[in-house]
Parts: sequence; structure tokens; C-alpha cells
Amino acid sequence: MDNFNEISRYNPFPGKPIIEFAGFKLYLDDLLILGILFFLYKEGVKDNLLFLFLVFLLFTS
Amino acid sequence: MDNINFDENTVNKLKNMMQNGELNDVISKIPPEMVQNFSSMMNNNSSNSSDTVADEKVANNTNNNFDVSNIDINTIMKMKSIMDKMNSKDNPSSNLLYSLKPYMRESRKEKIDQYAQLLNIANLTEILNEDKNKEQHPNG
Repeated sequence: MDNFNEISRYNPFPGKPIIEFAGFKLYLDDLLILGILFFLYKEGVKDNLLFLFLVFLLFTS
Repeated sequence: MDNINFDENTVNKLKNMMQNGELNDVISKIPPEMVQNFSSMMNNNSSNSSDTVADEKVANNTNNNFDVSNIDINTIMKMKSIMDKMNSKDNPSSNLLYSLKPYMRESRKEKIDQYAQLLNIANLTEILNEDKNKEQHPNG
């Protein structure tokens, strides 16, 4: 997580969680993956492997 | 064409071309008619007396360690298509993962590369299924 503290031009809040609830801390990239997953589901994308890898990515610390 | 084995110089040239990745470019330039002719020539050659062919192969294997007489041109074409598929940049799923990469933390960036490669490899199953269907139903 130390690498995530580096200032990135893509992340306005480096090292800080965007949402924090019930002990869960969601950072910018977590929210991005969740948004992509939701969008793909709403669009009816049938690529199961893509969903699987995005979920794996979400659980990667 | 009784003997379809290549001499040592040709074999070495082929090896260098494969190592340099040039063979892919050469194969892509071969017109389909030539591929069909070559394939039919090899099929005719294999329909000759099997004893003489076996004897020739044994003799050639003792002289040359590399014998390409068993490699069908169709196999080479399949290998080419498989390699193209694996390196394809047209896979929208892997393109999506690569587009997310700049926004991810370092540990996830490495995973993205792996997952994108796996997605490309998964496309190979489509090719294998197509080949399997062609073999089972050659008349379509």
C-alpha cells in the first residue's frame, strides 16, 4: 500500500480511501473496478472471464 | 518429389527465421493456392510405398537431426493463426484491462498484464473448437 501513497496525476486523493464504512476502505481504483463491473452488468456483457478477472483484481491488495 | 527433406542450409535458415520472428511474415505472404498445392504434394508423397518412405526417414534422421517431412503445411498455418491470436491487440476485454492500468496501484498493474494474457489465451479455445468441428464435419 506504500506505493499507493505516491502522488499520481490520476488520483486526486493518493493514499486516502474515498469511501469508508463498516471497516471497509474503498480507494479510487476499487471504485473504478466496481463501476466497470456494474456498467458491464447493466450493458448485458456475457464475458464471464472478464467479470472473473475484474473480481480477482478487486480482491488483490 | 521423392525426397521432401530439406538440406542443412535451408534448415538453418528456417531456424534463424523462426527465432527472429520472420517466419510469421513469410508464411502470411504465401498465397492460398500455393498452400493447397504444397499440401496435396505432401499427401501424394505420403501415399507412396510406406516401407520406402520409412527407410528414407531412418536414413535421413541419421544424417540430419532435423526432419521436416512430418510437418504438414496446414499445421504450420494453424500455428501461425494461434500465434496471431495470442498476440492480438483486438481483444476488447484485454484492451479494457489495459485501459484501467494507469489508474491502478502497482500490485494490480502486474495482475492486469497477467489477466490480459490469459484472456488472449482463452481465445485459442475458439480456434481449437473450430478445428475440431471441421474435423468432425468436413463437409460443413
